[in-house]
Amino acid sequence: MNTVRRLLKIRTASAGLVLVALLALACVLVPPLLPRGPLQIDLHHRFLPPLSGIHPLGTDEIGRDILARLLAGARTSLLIGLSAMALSTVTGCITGGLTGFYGGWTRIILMRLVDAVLCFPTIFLLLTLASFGQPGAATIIGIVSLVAWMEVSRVVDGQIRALRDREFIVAVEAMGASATHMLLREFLPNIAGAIVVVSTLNVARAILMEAYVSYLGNGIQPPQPSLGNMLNDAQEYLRPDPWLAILPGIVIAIAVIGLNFIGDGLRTALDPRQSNASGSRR
Amino acid sequence: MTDAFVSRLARMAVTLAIVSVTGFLLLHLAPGDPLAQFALSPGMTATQLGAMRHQMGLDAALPLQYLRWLGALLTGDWGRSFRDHQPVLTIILGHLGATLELAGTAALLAIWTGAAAGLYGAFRQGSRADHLITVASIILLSIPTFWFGLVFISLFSVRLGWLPSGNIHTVGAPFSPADYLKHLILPATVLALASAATWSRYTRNAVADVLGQDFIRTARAKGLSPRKIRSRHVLRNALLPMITLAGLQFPTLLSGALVTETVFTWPGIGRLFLDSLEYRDYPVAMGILMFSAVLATAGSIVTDALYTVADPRLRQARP
Repeated sequence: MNTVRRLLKIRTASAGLVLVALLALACVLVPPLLPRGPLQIDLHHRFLPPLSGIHPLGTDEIGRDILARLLAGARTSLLIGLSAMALSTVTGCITGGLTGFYGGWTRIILMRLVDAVLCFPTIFLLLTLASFGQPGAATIIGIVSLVAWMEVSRVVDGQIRALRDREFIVAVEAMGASATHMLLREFLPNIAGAIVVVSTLNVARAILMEAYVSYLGNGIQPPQPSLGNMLNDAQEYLRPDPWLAILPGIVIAIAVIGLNFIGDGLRTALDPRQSNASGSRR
Repeated sequence: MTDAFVSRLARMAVTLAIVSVTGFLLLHLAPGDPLAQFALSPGMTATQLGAMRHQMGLDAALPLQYLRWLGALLTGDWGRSFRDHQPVLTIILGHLGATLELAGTAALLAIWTGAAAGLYGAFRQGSRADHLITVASIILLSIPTFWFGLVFISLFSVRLGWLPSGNIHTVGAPFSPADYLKHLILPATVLALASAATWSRYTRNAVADVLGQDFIRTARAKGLSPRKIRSRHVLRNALLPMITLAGLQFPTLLSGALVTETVFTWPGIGRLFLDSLEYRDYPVAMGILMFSAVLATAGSIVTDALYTVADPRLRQARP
């Protein structure tokens, strides 16, 4: 409870919460109110500017309603972000927990692997992995989690190793606690904060990755709208209609800025060093 | 010192080995066929295709193909492109210059503006400017690079007509430095934006960390001027984490250039890489992968070396 109160006190964090909440609400509540769906073509009304008649944000190159498409794209992005976060957090916690706790060869192998994968340009991984599956939301969730779990794993591993030698852990171990008990009851509550921070930032990262992959043409496929492939389409029409490029970028920015603000605020709110005035350094 | 260096080199070799195996498997197992482009040409028979496949060595078992590729690489032969049969190394070096010019300019821009903003924020912690810089950095980091590219093109090229929207120089015109600079401004700025934000955040935290330490209070207590404290004590100590960042940013500049080069049709390594992926040009793609992996690992070794230069404590032999 204390953390929530501290979080809300940080101005950027509460602004982030508001941004993300508004965007999520808009994705759910607004589409049923719109007269046109995101896929409805109307060749008589192409390239309408924002604020024209029944199209609050105008229409695209084949007369589809931009607001409807933006909201559909944002919903896909949020879903991809949340699912990829869930998958990568679970995988990262399990692998990082095991390597941090048991160490040994598994740890050396895993960390070498993580080092090597971090050597690849992210775009290369995203694009090659994307070509393995049917392009679509499920594939993107899969590949983004494949790239993102390592960071969670590193954080969990590092935190557990930092805690291993602390007195309370040694004491619990000496009392004969089982590995499961130690991991779930002793370590987990102590590193939950760090996990929450990485996971929040990972939602933001997943949304950005979707935009990159779809922009380069390997993600969500047209006619299904996504914030990334809308930007790809817009590239050809910068001259007649720059709005087509500007608007999807703003929606991506709202989502990612909001999430980054929340993640950043959480890091501050969960940091015990920040909780009261200086002096209590440990 | 030498022991540490040797063990670093060994770790680098292991990392590179993993990168090469994973990259090779990913590329070759991904659906798509390097011969697809030839299969479409009229009069191409199945026998001819089979002969080409054999000539490219694509009909061998995957582990054998990998060993052949690795063996050739170790003797300095990077292979030849499937597309135009040029040596891979020649192709890569031919595109490297453009990328280095773009990424180098962007890095300079990013480091100067980012570090300046970070220093300013750290020395005036909690001020309005500090908050503004922090918020602006997060915003810059939250927006995909290519969006800035599109918006800049739409504003400065399409609307105002000030700067060209792509390519490295005007097609058909003789080379001139002014023309080249004009083409460089937009892509370099776009590429610099996100990394300037990273630099500003990082510098601010590093300097703020140093400012909170006891020896700074001591320096202040013994009456050193704030200017001297900043230049002698703070900057020198904040340099270490900044060197780390420079090492970490090195490989990301290349992959950042990938998207920027696509948006601005810049003839560099990034676009070459995307093209080679699209055409399943395995030798070129593998060449670029290994090239950037070597740069990334070498970057971290250079970082370590710079560490010892910047930090006298590390100069003594380590226990």
